[in-house]
Amino acid sequence: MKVDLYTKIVLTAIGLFLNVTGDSKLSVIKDAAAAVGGYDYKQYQQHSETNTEFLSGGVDASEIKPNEVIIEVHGVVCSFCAQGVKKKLRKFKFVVRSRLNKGIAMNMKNQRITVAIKSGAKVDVQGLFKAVLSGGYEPISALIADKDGNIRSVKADA
Amino acid sequence: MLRVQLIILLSIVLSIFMVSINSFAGQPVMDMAPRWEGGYGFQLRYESYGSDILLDGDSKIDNPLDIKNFVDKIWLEGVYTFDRSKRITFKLPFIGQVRTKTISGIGVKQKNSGVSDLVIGLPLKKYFNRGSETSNWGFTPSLRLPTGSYSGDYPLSDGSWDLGLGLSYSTETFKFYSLYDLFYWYNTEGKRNMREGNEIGFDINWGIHAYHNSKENSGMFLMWDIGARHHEKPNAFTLTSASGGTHVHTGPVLMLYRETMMFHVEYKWGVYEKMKGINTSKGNISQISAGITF
Repeated sequence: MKVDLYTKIVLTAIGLFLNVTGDSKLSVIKDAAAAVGGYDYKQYQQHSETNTEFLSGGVDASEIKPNEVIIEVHGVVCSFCAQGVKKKLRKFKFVVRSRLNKGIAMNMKNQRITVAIKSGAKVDVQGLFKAVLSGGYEPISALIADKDGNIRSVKADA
Repeated sequence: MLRVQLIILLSIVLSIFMVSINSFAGQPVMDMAPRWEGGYGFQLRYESYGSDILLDGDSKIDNPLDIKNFVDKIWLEGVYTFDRSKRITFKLPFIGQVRTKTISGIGVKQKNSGVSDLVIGLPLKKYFNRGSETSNWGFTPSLRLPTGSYSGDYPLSDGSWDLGLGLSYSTETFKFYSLYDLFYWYNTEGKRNMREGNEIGFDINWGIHAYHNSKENSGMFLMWDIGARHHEKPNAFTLTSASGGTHVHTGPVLMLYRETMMFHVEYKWGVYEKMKGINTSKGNISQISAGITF
């Protein structure tokens, strides 16, 4: 009985630290099981349902929304290690901090960083690439969608 | 015989399993982060080990005088990243130590506490970011300064300037992390003719990124750590807690992170020990740490 109590206390403390609540507890177990199994069924499902028309360096045009930039990067695998990238990207004046997660969304499974930009703002794409590099990772390419949804692609210099 | 075969088979299966899953490291604030230009971080780490088990070589012997040695350390650690290939680190330990030592055939209790030797490191890293994998080779020269007290019957330091060299490789994917670290400490002769002896060791960390929440920017790593140390026998003038010998410890590690904060706890069992002559076992090692990066 004591072991059960200690287990509950430890798991509750971990849950509070990670801010895991309600149904998310189930996903913790699923994620852990998927990690041990070496695959992720959710990622597989997402890929199966996604339009695979790539415009630039592997970034999918269907992933982007108006007033967003999607940067394809290499090496971003852990958000604790990637805080610096977010911090550096948020310094740009054209980033809207009220959208996404303070202006930035990271998808480590797909190696994508989405940046929310001000409507009509001129985007310094090379500056974004430099920010990714100084954050410790490799920028590959970017898709930029303006307010009307027009998309252009830019490759990072090797 | 069957039992031995089962243990060997289990060891092989476990080794293959651990190798196949790749894995992770014990001090993420000093190794994983910060890897961005101008990043810095601090970590408080508590470490505890010690034992009242007396060993002659690798054999346990009777301990009628209750000879023992217990050490607690609180490390204040910091790191600054110039860019991802160049960092500078410091580690300052506060030590509390107690032992019972044989002097003229009698067990004499001794204890001491205070700040010990400061370690300055210069980790140089070469990163390779390929697709959804990041890896790096590291070369770390270190200097241990004699900032601890070398006076008394049970000093915290031998008062020497020591030079360390480390070579490491780590690789990480979204699911797995692994770290391999080989190091060598060249310990010079310090005050009062004390010389603790040189040390060579390696650490292997394997683990899985068991949970990750992009929205909350939080996650959990589960790891397994294997560490081996071979320490030369200190000379006859050495009065510190250094004892020499070969030690292999292994055990689990849990690391949690949320935003810029991380929490880590580990426990390692001594699975092999061979002392230089008669000495106390190092015992099992427990560590707990909390860190933050900026």
